[in-house]
Amino acid sequence: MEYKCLNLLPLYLSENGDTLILTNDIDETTLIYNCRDNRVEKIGITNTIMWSWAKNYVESLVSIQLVDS
Amino acid sequence: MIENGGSWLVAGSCNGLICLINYHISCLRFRNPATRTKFEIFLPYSNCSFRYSFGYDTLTETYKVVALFITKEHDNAARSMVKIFTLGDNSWRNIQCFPVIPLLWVRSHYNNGVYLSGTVNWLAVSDYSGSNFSFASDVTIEQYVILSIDLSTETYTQLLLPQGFHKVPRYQPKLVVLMDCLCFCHDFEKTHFIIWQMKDFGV
Repeated sequence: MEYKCLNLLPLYLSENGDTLILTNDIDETTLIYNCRDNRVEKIGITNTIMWSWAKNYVESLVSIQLVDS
Repeated sequence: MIENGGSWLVAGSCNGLICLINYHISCLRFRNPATRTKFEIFLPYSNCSFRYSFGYDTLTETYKVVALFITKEHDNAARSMVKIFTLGDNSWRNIQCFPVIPLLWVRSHYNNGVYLSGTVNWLAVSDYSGSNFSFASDVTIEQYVILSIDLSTETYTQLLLPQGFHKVPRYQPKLVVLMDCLCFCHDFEKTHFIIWQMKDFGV
């Protein structure tokens, strides 16, 4: 079987390595792949999210030198 | 995260800080959403072809932005210009240009440099001969390399790709960070998608 949408960008891998979030680089279809049972689920949120720009973010109290807004 | 209807694009996120770039007004914004603080600087140039990465220099404990610009010379050789901005002394400096040319995604402004523990990393191609610094199928396996800049020393290292990578994929291979490890991923034989994880960075 040939897959036509292998232009994938992995966004996040869960800590136990079981779950992977991938986005398709072209149409931004985003998938949750479960490595354990080899199942894929399409994320239902619509195209208002630019998935391929997503970055990991963890909250902190780090100050941005000098300036407050 | 895209702010204000797409005018602000994310250059990077590190230690709870987010660095955003606005090409329309040539401005970089640093934000900590948790403390609701921000800091902005205007870029000393308005060249929209620069791409930006954001990271932390563990030695001087400062945040840095790497700006890169790649152009073609008349002799068709690719040339890069690399600038570093340090948050704190708020200055731009030119540093040595890239020893190999990072692959850029065709998507405009998209930065594909990935930050990992004091370094920013790109997938690069040696002796690049394509026209727009994007993936081309005539690039051979041997030409691919990981280009890594150490934000403390501001020097480059080139890392080899996994030995099992032996067939040019159909789509542009990618470098990402998953679970705090640098990962190289690509499609394979039209049926598989492979992710290689670098367990020990740079080893």
